[in-house]
Amino acid sequence: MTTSDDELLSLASGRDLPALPDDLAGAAVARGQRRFWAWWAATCRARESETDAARSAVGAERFADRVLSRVAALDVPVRRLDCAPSCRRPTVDGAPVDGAPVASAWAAGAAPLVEIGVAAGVGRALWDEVAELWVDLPEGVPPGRYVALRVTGDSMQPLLMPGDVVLVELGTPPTSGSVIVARDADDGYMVKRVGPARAGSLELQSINPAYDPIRIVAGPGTVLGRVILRWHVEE
Amino acid sequence: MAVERRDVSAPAAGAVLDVAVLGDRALVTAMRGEERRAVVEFYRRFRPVLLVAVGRLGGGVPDGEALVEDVLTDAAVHFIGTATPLPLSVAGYLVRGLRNRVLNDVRARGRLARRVREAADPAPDAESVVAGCCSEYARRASAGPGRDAWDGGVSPIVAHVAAVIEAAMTEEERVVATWLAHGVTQRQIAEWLGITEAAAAKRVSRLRARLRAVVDAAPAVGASALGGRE
Repeated sequence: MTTSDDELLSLASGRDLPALPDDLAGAAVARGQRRFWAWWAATCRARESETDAARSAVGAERFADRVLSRVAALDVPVRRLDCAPSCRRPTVDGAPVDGAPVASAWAAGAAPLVEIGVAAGVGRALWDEVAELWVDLPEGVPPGRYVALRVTGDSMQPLLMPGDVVLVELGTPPTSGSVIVARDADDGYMVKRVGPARAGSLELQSINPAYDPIRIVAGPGTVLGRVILRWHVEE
Repeated sequence: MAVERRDVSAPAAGAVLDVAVLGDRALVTAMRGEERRAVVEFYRRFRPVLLVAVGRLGGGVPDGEALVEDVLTDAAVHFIGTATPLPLSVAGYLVRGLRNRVLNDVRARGRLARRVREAADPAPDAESVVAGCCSEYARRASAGPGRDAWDGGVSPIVAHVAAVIEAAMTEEERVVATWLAHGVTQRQIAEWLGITEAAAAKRVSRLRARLRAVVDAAPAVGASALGGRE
């Protein structure tokens, strides 16, 4: 029994050799190789069985969702802290209390953790809330006015998971591509990504493709601030 | 069958983009605009060639379809999310990526299996297991990237023949051998290389003869060794 030519060919072209590079040295061979790949891809498409084609059609939509949501999570400028920053009870005149007005945390170099439920809490204003915890500003965050909010809902998955906490820098104007906390009269506070700039209104995108973008009128009080950090809290 | 696609550099502004007529590289450029239809077309265009590629890599790919999904997803995210130059051939790039993933996997499993075997030896003293790991590390460190000897899945004899073939063949011969193994006709070879059909026929027969000579001259290779491949 001898080895057939076909076996030799498959050996000479198969997985047992390092892959041929794309940029072959010879120009004629390189051009031929590009035409070969185009031809081979077309041949495989032409031979695709009906079942495979049907699966491809269904899978393609899911594929686009997956790819676009991963890309969206890639270029969102929200740094993730591996370790949740330390928290403490609010103090009034140096004495610990169970709850303190939101704004009183800033003088103490902390951010109030407000359990308002981003994306929920219709009709409630942040300033009405009482913070039961103060979050110490993590290293590298300059002193300023921040609030920490707990995320509810899955509209920003996989960037933000329900239960994650985000640190919001108050008053920073929204720029396209940044993640902000906005307030809408109907929907309350929500964390969203800012879409392409448009005069007079803001497009708010969810990273989770299951949610459609929404458009709100830009005006005073619409945008709470920009999300600059996120971390996960173990329950 | 195969509609020749032209590479259009950029679609006209405002026009509805017909992604199906875009060339491969223009399609990837359209994806960079996060054009959803381009992403859908990318999947439908390249999934078949990767499924075939998985099949051609032989057994040992436990869930080929899931692997194809992963390769396509990672490549698409890579293309869109980074400003890397486009590959000359998108299909070639994807198939190479798939192949490297399978091979890394095969190697990792081979190493794991060997460790398990060593650890399960009748008299496994801790030292010999450690020595096994160390020599494995030393071997990997000295083998260098890319030219790593085959681990698991492929017999040393096949690896040896492959190395002999690689050393003895020119770049063009290897390319043509790949084409022949994919069922490319002599007429296509002539067209793609810009030579006459007679010249192509001559190159093919010379290639076959050279392959045979190389393998016949390689020591310790029998038909059984090659026939025993999966």
